Amino acid sequence: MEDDKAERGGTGRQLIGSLAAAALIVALAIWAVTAKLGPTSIAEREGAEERAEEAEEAKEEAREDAEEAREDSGRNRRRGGRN
Amino acid sequence: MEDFLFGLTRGNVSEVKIVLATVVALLAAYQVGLMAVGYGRLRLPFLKPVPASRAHRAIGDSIVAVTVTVAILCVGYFGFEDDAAVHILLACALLAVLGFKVMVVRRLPGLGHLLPALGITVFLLFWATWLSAAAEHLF
Repeated sequence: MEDDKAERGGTGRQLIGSLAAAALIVALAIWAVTAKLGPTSIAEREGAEERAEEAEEAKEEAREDAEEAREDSGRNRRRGGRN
Repeated sequence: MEDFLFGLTRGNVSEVKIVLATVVALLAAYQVGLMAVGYGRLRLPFLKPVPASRAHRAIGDSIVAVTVTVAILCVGYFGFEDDAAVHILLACALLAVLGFKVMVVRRLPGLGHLLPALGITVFLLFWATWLSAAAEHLF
């Protein structure tokens, strides 16, 4: 009877220990992942990247427009010179 | 639904999903270890098969609850996007195999001999599903 009691106690302790190890895994996973992700949310980061890309595209477009305008004015000047 | 999930996670649906998915992927690995002890394949001086099997069952119940939560977040907020076809396929397979495993444990003891194979399949599907979505934000 004493042996049974001791075995039950051992089993209970081992069960609690296994569950505590699982809790530790959960805590470590949450800590590691949140540390890796950082304070800025993924949606915010993606939004910022998208805005930066759009700004870059707009800048590129403006540069192309300016170049085109410069070429047009040069052509007009040459044509004007010939006349 | 989308607004509800957005509010519930304070706008961090992806982050919550990644944290929960990583937790269940790691617990799935721990579960394999517990069942190796439970089936007597792995002998440890500090853990006997019976408490290992009981812990496996308790942690498994928690894993199912968290997995269903992740699935709701995923489908409710992101829906079925074409560029996530592999992830969706893996997740559906995972839910199907996990559901079948739970059925075998609770209602179909005659198919108990399938449990080790089902367990390994569930473990692999957990990691494949995690690798197909959460991993890209962490590495």
